[in-house]
Amino acid sequence: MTEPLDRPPPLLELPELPELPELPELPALGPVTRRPPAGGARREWQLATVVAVRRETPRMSTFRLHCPAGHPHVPGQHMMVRLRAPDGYSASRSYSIASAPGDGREIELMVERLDDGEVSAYLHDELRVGDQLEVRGPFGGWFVWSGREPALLVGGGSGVVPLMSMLRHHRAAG
Amino acid sequence: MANPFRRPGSRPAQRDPRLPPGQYDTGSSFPVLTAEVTPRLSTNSWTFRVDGLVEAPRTWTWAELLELPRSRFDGDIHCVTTWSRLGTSFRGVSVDELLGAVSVRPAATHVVAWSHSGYTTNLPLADVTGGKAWVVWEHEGKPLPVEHGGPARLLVPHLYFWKSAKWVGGLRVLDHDEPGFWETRGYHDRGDPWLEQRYSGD
Repeated sequence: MTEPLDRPPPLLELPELPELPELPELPALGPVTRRPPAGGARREWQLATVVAVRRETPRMSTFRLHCPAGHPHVPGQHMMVRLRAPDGYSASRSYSIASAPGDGREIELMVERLDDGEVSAYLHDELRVGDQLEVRGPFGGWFVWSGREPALLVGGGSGVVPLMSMLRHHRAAG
Repeated sequence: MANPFRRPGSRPAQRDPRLPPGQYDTGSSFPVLTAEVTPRLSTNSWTFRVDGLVEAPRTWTWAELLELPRSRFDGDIHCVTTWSRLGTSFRGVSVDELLGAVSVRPAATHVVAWSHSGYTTNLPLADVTGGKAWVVWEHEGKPLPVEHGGPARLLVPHLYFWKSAKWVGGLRVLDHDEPGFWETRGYHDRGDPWLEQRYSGD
């Protein structure tokens, strides 16, 4: 895999040295706005049911899903969607949540149909009310807005989806 | 009821054995995903520092970095967002070379890689030693573009690519694990693509 490389000599066992001088603080991009559940709790796959399909534009559709596990989301978070073929082949993609936060049992994913998109094309062309879909999430703890501080939303195309969740959250909160 | 999902005709029945589970081959494209604003770094003022649990903390300038023995990685990279780029190459200096120059103390167990942008990511020492990690400034024979972390980024190709910090500014050697930017925001602490360690608890 790699070119041969002259390794540095193995390190000698040295006696413990006095305390290190104070190190400069490591940089940070910003405060942690949303930490995962304590103990690294895992979000499991769950079987959601399609309760509504709304055609927004020729290329964009909203899929309203009932998720029995009901993990509430923060605006800006996304879900994973997994499709499985009878021969064992599977494909997963991440899609932003468009709906305002609730109890997590009813969420809306808005998906753009890509011409060569194996998952988005299937969702647009095949998925009907009553169908079941494997989903996992919500995930993401950076591009999120909890509603506590002012925000300016700028986006285009399918990039408006997480912004819609923020806008709806703002409206719902009055 | 929907028709069952089928393997698209464009996807070969024989899955490329280089693809970890849940990944797809992005071909020759190299997607760009960043949490922060792309910093414009001049190689005139660029530095790379190794400090923490080392005998002799050290800062390299760009010119000094280029004088170090170079090595090349040929292989595959895997992003947690499910794309993989197969059969690519990078060139730079092995992290073994950089750590060898500062003499890591025996108590060291982990490193935090940090970027000039403010990004951080944590790695066990064992994942950046033994010819597994590099600081690279060339991709497929060309200077590493700024959107991919130029002038230089960390390369840890056996883990998901968020561990390969763009615009890397240094490594801090520690005697404990210190979760970085994504690791404190729901992503897995280690990120092995072959174990699908995408999210916390996977």
